[in-house]
Amino acid sequence: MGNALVVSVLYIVVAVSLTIWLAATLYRNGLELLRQRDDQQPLLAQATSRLLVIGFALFTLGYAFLLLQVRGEMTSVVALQFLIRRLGILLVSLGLLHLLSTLIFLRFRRSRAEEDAAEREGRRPSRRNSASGDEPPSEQARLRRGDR
Amino acid sequence: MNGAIVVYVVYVALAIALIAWLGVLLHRDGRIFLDDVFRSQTDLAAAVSRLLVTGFLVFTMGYALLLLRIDVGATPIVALRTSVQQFGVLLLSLGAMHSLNMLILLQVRRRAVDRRAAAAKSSRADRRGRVASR
Repeated sequence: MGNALVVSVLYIVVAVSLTIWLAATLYRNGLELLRQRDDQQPLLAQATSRLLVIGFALFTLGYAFLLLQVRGEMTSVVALQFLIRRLGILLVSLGLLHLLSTLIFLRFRRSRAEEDAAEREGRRPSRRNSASGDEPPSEQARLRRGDR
Repeated sequence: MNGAIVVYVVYVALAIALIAWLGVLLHRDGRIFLDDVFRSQTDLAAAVSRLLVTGFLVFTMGYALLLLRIDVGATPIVALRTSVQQFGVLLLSLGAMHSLNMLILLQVRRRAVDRRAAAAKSSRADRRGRVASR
């Protein structure tokens, strides 16, 4: 087997397993991040997280394959240097991309929290009115209280 | 050739150990900051911390690999000299990055504390307003 082939296979194995690991980490922890304490829509957090992570994984894999440009045969030393260099570039860019995705997740979280706050703000007047009357609390408000 | 290879392997091992140690430190101590930011929702702080540390680890490993220049023809002494130099560069940049991380964590916490103070103030004003209107 030629050195170029060995290097390509090693690189692809590392790239794919790294992508899977990063995507799994991102999905698991991102889900934790998007889930609110009094969540009414747990599926929404799951869907958001999965969509973001799939985008991340596809982009990462494509980038990794584009990065690997083997040209012709190489001596074993050159092959080793080539492999180390490519892995270095891959790791650096994936690390940056991962941090960027974390920022995106945090941004999503903040916008959801703001939405929730705005919703609560909007509901406050009606709650004050209903305190004097005997009308039952709205379905959503009841759910929210029940979750806590 | 063998001597040079040994030197490179030692470099990689040292770099991995250093990076793993920094990652553990960052995770353990950064989480305390984040705990405060997220008002002791511990799961959330742990999740953010894990994400940040993963990014940090991957980035730093790549940086360490990029610094590694392999020259198999070098005598062990030359290889040692260049490796020590590379290790110095690695340590300097890791130190800089660690400090940067610290600054970011401090900044994040400061902002959270400010926001909390502002929220407490406005809610106090709100309550006072409601009492006055009664």
